[in-house]
Amino acid sequence: MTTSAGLAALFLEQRPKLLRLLTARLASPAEAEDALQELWLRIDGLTARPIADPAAYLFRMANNLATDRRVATLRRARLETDWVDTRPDAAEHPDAERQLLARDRLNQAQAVLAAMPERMRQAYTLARIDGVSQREIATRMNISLSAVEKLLMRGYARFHLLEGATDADD
Amino acid sequence: MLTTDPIRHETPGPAVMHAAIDWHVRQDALDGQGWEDFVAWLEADPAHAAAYDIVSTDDAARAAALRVAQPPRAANDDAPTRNWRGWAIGGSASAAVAAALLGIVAWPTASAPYEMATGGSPRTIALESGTSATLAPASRIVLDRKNPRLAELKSGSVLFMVRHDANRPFEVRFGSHVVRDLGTVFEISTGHDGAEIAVAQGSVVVDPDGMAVQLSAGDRLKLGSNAVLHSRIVPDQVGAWRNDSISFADVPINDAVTTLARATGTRIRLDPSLQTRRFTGLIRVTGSPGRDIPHFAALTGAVGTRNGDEWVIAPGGAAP
Repeated sequence: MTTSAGLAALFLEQRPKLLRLLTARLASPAEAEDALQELWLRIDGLTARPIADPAAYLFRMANNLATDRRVATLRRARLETDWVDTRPDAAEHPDAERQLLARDRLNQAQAVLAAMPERMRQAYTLARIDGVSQREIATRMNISLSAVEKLLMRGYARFHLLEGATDADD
Repeated sequence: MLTTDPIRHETPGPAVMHAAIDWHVRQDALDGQGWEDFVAWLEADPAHAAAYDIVSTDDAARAAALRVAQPPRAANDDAPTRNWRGWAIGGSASAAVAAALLGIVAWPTASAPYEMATGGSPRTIALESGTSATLAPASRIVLDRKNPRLAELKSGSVLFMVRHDANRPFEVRFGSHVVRDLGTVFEISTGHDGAEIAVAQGSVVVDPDGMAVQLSAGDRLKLGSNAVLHSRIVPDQVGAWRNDSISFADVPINDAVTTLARATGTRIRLDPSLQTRRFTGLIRVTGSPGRDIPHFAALTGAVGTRNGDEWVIAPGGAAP
């Protein structure tokens, strides 16, 4: 159990490891340092409350922060994370192609979701659309936590077209 | 194209993708040692980092897209779906009653108005293909099942993304005003000191039968009770409250505060001594005003405190 002051102390202690995580996830050491600084500011702004596993909590915060930054970077670079860029009439805007790509990917994700077995879809929907924790999903579905993990892993494999043939096969 | 990104330099094979998915799914349950193992795995091979990057960023984008893409089926289904708890969706009978109570008299006779409201988090409603309305927290809007090109903003802020159709103009009414789109992304906000229209893309006409002011991307119009004020806004900042984290690059601090107020569904008063400041930085919105506002205030070297039903941001130590 710890409070935000305890978290700040732990941050200083774990700083090298957190930096290693951010360096592995981000494009440059400079960006990793920048993200670490942002993490520090966030910890500073947290209201004190008990946290069961503070080290894991810090790593998770750092990792989520890295993902947020990567999503933003990819979006800026107009790579492939533009899932729903709902823009007005394509004919009036030069990024029509981008919008088509986004819609295409969304359609594909919906198709994969629709083709999932009921329990897998239920686990994924609860976890990622409703934001329910895996532990809570296990309780609701009356299965073990590792069974929830397996359902989600197989679900993600389908989204990445690694198993469970869908109508898209590129 | 992907090769320009240093993280995506490698193309991971299926086995590495499976491993990345395992790490991603198990993240919630990892302890301190588990995280160290994860870092070691990431560092072991650039393909590992690439695979994890694909899985994690795709997951974030996919989940956000799917959440937006599953709006309440307002046109043919009165029951709120399981995924959309928190929506206030009136059935057709209660919608008619609500319409009567709200004093909506200007709606066409063939209309079927219904109201949507948000609590603590924003929601996106697909009105028709290519057209959507995203409500900020604590906002209310009246829509029409029979006419997806008409909306009435009752309170709060809404970002509209409109597919332009010259034959079917999209109109938003609020108070005594009308905004008609000319193919665009724009936001309308109402507040205690008037309403504001800001355009991110394309253009709109405000009160086409009255003042008929045309606004283009980056234009902002403030409609007070006895004054109309025009200013400019960075188009990216229009509707920025939709995002979980919002970055500001050298904007008037008032703009950042306004965005934060919309993101959290609260009213925030900025101490006059801070009004002329500018703000650069990134704020994260958790949806909890008690966390987000003091955090933002701290970033500016000030203090955020709750005062009745509004929040006050003032220099540290000074009583509001």
